[in-house]
Amino acid sequence: MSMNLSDAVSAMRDTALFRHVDDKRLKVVAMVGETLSYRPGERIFERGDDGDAAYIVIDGAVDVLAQSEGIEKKVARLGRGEIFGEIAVLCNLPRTTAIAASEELTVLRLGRDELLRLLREFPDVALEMIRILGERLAATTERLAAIR
Amino acid sequence: MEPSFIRFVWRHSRREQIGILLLTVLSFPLVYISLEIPKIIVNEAISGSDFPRDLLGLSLEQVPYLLFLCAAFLSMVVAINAIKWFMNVSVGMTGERMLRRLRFTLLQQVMRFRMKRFRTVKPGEVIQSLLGEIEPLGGFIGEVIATPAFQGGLLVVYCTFIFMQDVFLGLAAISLYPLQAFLIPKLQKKVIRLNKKRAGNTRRLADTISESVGQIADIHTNDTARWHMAQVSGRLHTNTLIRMDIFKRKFTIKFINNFLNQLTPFFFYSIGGYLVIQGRLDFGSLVAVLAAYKDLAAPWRALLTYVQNYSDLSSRYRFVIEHFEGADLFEMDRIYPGPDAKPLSGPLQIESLEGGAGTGGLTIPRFTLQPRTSAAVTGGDSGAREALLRFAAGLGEPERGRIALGNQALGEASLPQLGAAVAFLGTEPGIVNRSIRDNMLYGLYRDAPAFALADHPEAKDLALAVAEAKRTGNILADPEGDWIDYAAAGVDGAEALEDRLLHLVEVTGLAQDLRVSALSMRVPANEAEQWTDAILAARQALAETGADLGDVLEFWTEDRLNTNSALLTNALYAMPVTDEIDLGAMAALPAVRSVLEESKADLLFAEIGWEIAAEFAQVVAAVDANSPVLDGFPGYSRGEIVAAAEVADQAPRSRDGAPPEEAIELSIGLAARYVQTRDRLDVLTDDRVRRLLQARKLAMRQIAGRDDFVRFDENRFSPARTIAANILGANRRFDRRTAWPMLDERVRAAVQDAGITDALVRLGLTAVAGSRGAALTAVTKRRIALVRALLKRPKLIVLDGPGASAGAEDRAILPLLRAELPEAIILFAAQDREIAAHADREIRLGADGALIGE
Repeated sequence: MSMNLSDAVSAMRDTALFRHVDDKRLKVVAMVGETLSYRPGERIFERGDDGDAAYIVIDGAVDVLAQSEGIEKKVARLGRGEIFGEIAVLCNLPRTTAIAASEELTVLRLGRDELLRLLREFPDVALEMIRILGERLAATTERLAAIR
Repeated sequence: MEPSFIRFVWRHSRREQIGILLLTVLSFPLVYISLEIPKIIVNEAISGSDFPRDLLGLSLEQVPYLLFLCAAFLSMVVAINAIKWFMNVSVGMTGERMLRRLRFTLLQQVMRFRMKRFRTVKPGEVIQSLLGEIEPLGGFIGEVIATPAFQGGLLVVYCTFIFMQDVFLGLAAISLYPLQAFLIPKLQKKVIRLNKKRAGNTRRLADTISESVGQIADIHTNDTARWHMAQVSGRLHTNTLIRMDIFKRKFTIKFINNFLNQLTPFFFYSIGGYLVIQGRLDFGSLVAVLAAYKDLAAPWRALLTYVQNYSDLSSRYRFVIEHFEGADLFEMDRIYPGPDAKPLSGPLQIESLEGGAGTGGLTIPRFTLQPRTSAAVTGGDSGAREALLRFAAGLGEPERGRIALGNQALGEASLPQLGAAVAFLGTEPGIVNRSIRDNMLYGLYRDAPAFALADHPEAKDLALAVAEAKRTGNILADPEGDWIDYAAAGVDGAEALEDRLLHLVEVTGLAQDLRVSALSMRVPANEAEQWTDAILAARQALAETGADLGDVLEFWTEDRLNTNSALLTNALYAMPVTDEIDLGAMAALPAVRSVLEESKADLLFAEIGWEIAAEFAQVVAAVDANSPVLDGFPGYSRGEIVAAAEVADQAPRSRDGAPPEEAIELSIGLAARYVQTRDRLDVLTDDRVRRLLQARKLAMRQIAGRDDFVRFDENRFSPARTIAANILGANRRFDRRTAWPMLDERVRAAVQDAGITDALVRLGLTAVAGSRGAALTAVTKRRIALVRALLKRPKLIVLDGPGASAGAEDRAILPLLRAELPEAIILFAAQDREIAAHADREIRLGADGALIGE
């Protein structure tokens, strides 16, 4: 049986980005997006691709693959409720890493237009996104300071 | 064209005008009798005595006499109204026919304009003139003669009556007429001037609006929406100002008219009263005169209105036709082929050519280009190159010298001559909103077909079309007839032409585009049968590729829900044979609805659909009815979502989940289109799926053996689905959308393997181009124009844009033209001398437009 909106909603409840959004609105987010499935090993996008959509893992997990000295290395694994690809959409940047399904995978795909519409419609989500990006920036700055 | 309105009316509708006048006159005695009979009824039949009376040889008692008179009265009423009906239809039809004639004549004038005139003539203005400005003339033309005759006649009768009572009173009655007759036209003149000004502004407004709509892409990319809106707003303001002025003056005229009309009774009371007191007039006569004067007012007002309308509309007529006339128009026989119009042939000859203003100084002393040769035009970037190519295509005339094909100057050649001998390819080919095939054959639409009346199933309608065209001076050619000049294409009939067309489509590279687009097209239900073998062959070829299609497709299984297909198709396990596209509308087709009802699927649909509506109501409540988010749902449009939400919000909740009576249709429509994997709502419980499969069993039993449905386990073409969907025989999985391009690739390969590519090209040719080719890509449009040019085998082909650059598409054009048109002269613009080297000769123009080398 395919994944319903309620599956997507319950996955999103675990996502930091949507933590403060009520179920009704989460359902709208899920409706606007499309539910896609991938086979293990299948690539969702490649490094350098256009950042045309953000993804939320509903079921399964993905590997984040970065290039290092010409060799592709797995740098992280993202599971249920985690979001990826959103920065490239927001900043209109090409993908910095590749993403592949590490097992049977179901994701909610939010195209750029849909995501931007949602951010306009639900300012809570926009604020939450700013907060998450801010946290990431702080963490990076901290790490940079540690290196120096 | 007739310079004055009345001459135009008289010349083309005098018979009708006289007919209307006769009808008017004919109604007078009847009206008189109908007024007389009631008097006889009251005085003789009701109050009378000494019966029986003799009438038309009959001896009648009082009651039969009364009934007889009443019957006569009723007959008069019927007769008068019948005449009125006939007269009104005649008035309406005369106006309409004259309007048709005028519109056609004006369009004919546009066809006679020289190219340079189109620098100032704007499409929006022409449309406004042809449609809006002259529209009021239609209502008026039919009464041009009848109204003054009728109202004038009444006026004379009433005046005579008053004069008969007393000469002074008669003079009093008409005393102010001269004043009105002098004053009103003077005031009216200013109103007419303002009306002209308003029409001019409206024309410019129409053009500003059509410009705004026409270049919407530029508006979006330059952020000029506000600028365009301000332009229109400015024109609207000017319009308001002119209107305000018109209103003030118009109602001043009305005020004066009303005042003067009321002034006359003042004379009656004063002069008439004085005369009665003096004993020079009896009281009864004064009362009769006052009554007559009351009747006098109506025709006089009607005449004044008529005069106002007449002066307004005749000036409007002049204003419009001035726009379409001029000394520089081509002769009429430029459009219609004359008997002595010889076909053009021979070398392209240029002698002492000087382009004149706006041609970048184009000057060529002498140049000749023989048939079978090509020449590239280089340089002349400030307009000379473009001007030369346009002159060569007959799209304008040089100021001095001549450019001719054989012995005929191209600028003066008739359209039939040019159409047969010359082809012109620019960067933006004109595309008509017809099929791609029609657009390719467009260059052959020169054989104006007469209406084929004999043996035609709608011969009566056609005969009417011919008669009307004759009455209104329109063209006597069947717009939907066979316009193709087969000889021009060098073929002897439709079949050979089709072969030639397919060949050209292939060599111009258009065939591949057509095949791809045909895959997503549907086939009319009546042609579906002949596609069965083709799609089965392609399906077989697809299966033989050995690809794991199950990963991308969901195949049909009788006892399982297909989650990638709509509920309607799931319930039927078939598709109806129909041209209808929308599944919601399909569910309402009588044949489909009866199957749904018999299988009880309609109840299930209503229940599910009602729940979908409730979900939509929640969505709309969570966002906002205007939110752009609502445009983002794949299965349902914003309009549907908002409408369904509204109904669901207003209706009372029922306990069994069934919708109220008024929402049943809406609910069934919503459910019919619902696709589980795409829409993902929680509306399909296990119990509902079970009921759906049960309904499917019943439906399958009903549909078995029927021709008006195509079942999914049947090897037959289903016209309700696209060609590609028919080939797949399954539904694409929405959750595997990322793998669809791979699937499309495989389908294309299967089509090739199955050998049905020609059939697809033919189908692709039936696709509609859209307004100005909106449904086509720029490349497709250019290729269509190329096929169009090749098909008519011109003696001279002129290219301004195509073939000019070093791109692959452009480089292929010259060899293609040479191969397809070995006899033709080819003249084309080349970006640089390297490209020009591919031609036999070069016409090199300097920066000043002068020929500097060959």
